[in-house]
Amino acid sequence: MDYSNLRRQAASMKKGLFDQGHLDEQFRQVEDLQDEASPNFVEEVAVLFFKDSGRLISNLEQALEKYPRDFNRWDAYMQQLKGSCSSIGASRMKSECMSFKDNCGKGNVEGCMGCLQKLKREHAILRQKLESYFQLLRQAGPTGAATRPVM
Amino acid sequence: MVSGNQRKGKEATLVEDKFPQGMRVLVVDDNPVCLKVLEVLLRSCKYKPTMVMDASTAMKMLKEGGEEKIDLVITNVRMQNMDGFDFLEFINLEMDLPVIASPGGPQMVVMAYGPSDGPVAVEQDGRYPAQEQGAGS
Repeated sequence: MDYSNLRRQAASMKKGLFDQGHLDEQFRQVEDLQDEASPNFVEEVAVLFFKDSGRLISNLEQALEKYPRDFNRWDAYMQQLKGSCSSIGASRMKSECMSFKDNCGKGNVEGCMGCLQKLKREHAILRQKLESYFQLLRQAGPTGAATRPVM
Repeated sequence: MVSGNQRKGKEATLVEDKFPQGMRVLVVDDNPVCLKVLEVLLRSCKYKPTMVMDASTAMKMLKEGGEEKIDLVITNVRMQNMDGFDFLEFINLEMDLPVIASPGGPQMVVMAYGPSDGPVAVEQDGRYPAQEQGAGS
């Protein structure tokens, strides 16, 4: 098995995620925290993030229905989600969070709904891409995960 | 990681004297993702973090002798179940501990409140000082 080729593919995939704006610098900061003491840290954070953000999005959808025009409440939910996105560097998702909050500020229900739909789409895309990325890293061998690939 | 660049009076001294290795940090944030990243970040700075997900638990802990065991508190002030500013006030009034108040998210500029003259801004990545700002953001 050609591990260096797999590592190159993983690096290229990661570069794509940055170039397309799915991830920002914060993701690199999270990677920098990965070491022998926390060898799977990045993937653990990602798993936690998708679980947590899935829950928050679901809560938000319910709130939109149960509490119509309750912009303060909606904004508070979105604040949580924005914090999560910031922590992992989920850049596109974070933008949608900010647009949503903006729309709350303007009292624009349709704007909020639109942002939420986009957010769900970005969430699904990022999850799928990161899952592929981590799978590739795993295939590339244990050192593939623990060391930063040369880009 | 909080190593000073340019100094600004006694706040800088406070930072350099009080942020040694092994510093015990209480972190309060109801966001599990932020908490996880912060925990590993603080450990990588050789600090000893204690992570708590809500301010009520943190308050209880501090009241029941926890104050002796903590050197610094970092708290998110925009949490869902308890107003972070109430917690901040509790610490400022009843505890003799420096607090860093953050509006949430690791990239936000944090405001450092020490037992000195009010807030000083600290960049989240540890660069100090950032720029001086009014409270809140």
